[in-house]
Amino acid sequence: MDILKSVLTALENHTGEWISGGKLADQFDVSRNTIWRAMNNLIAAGYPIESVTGRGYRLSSGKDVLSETGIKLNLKRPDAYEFDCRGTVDSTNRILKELARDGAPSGTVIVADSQLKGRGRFGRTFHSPPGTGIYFSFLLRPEAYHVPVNILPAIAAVATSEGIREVFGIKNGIKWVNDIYIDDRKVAGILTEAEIDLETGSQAYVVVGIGINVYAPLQSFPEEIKNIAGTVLDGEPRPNGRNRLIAAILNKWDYYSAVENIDECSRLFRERSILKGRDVQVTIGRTTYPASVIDCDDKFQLIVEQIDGTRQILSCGEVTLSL
Amino acid sequence: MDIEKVKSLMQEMTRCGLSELEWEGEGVKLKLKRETAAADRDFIPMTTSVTGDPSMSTVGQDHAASNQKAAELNGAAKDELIDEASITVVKSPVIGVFYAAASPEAKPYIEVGQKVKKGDVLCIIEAMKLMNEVLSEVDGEILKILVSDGEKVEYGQPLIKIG
Repeated sequence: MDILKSVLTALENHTGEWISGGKLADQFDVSRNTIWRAMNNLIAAGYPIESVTGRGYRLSSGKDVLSETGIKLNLKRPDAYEFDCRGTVDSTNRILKELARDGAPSGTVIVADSQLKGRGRFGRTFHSPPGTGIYFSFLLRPEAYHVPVNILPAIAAVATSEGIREVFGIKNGIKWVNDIYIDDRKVAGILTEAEIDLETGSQAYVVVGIGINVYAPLQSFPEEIKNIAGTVLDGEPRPNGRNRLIAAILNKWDYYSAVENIDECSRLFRERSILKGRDVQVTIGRTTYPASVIDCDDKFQLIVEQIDGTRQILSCGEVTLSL
Repeated sequence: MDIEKVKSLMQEMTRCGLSELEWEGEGVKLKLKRETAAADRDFIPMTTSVTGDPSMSTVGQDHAASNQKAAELNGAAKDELIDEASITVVKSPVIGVFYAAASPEAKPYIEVGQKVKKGDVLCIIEAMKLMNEVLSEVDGEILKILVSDGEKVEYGQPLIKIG
């Protein structure tokens, strides 16, 4: 794995340029045969690597291929996750919930290049076209988290926000509870589903599903979301971009879901909130009322003020921006 | 069965608000039924342990008297009755919003009268965008849904009766 990672990093640092096998072999103090095998492994994992006798190897620019190898190479705890990378699926959450019911362990991850029935909250569709987005779900059993279960969606939002910043250097905000926005457009959504075992009164498992519009879709967004959906990047796909983003989000997840980092996580959640000071519609089930947002509290709850000055602390329901 | 035994059975039935009792010999075939007062229109049929012995003996009953007594029953006695009759009351495991269906357009997970199996999804309770699917612990029939779609529920609030 180490040599694979070194070779990949070298290729990425010179995307579109030729590097000779001999030079790489010298640089990493291995045989040319080892470099050759590493290249073959990377090609098998889906990397667009060209090789020409006399010139060496190069990573083609403009392509971003999802692969388990590419994700694992960038993970801090590669052994903590087990990946199943697929092309097109109906919904990564649905597949993972089924695996969870059959006893799949914590750390099982389903990654898809596109979804036919990507789901948002309450069965709303999440537009998931091929080649340009990230759609993945990971499984948590109760032993895998030591913080209150109902803050897991908020932690996932912080991990996603931080992942996007780290990999692409792009500032983004969080709309309570777990939507990611860039310039008032939604670029990522999270759907966290759990199953409650009534005998214990606690969750048997939690599935966190994250969908991100990384690049502009080949065809434009559907009419109904055209004015609210956005993408993380404008330009052409970056090699390994999606793999690195998935790995970064999981790395951030590991960090921010740790009990000792919850205060930091909560602070970031408040700082990144795009709602502070804004007018919203609060919807709790069938009740709707206008309010303005004061802040988030340290339990990731939203503090809003109604027109008559009454303050409410929200721990369920949702808010929409009044435009 | 002597008359004293019948009388004591009738008293016991009145105490529990039962309107019907069928009973068979020592092989035990027992059928208990409670028809509640008109004000409370929930009809809760209860059938318990039916086995063996075909010899029949029925016990007389007085609907009017038992119904009147049923109306006087206090809450504690009612709960006791429910436990005895193995009705499961599903209580909310969390504070949140109760959703009867996966989406506003979708068919509800359950309806009154529907048979459910252990492990079937009964409803969703949303809290902090965590969608908690509540599963049935038992096989049975949905007797009553005590909250409506989109209602905010408290921890421990009764949601659904399954019998």
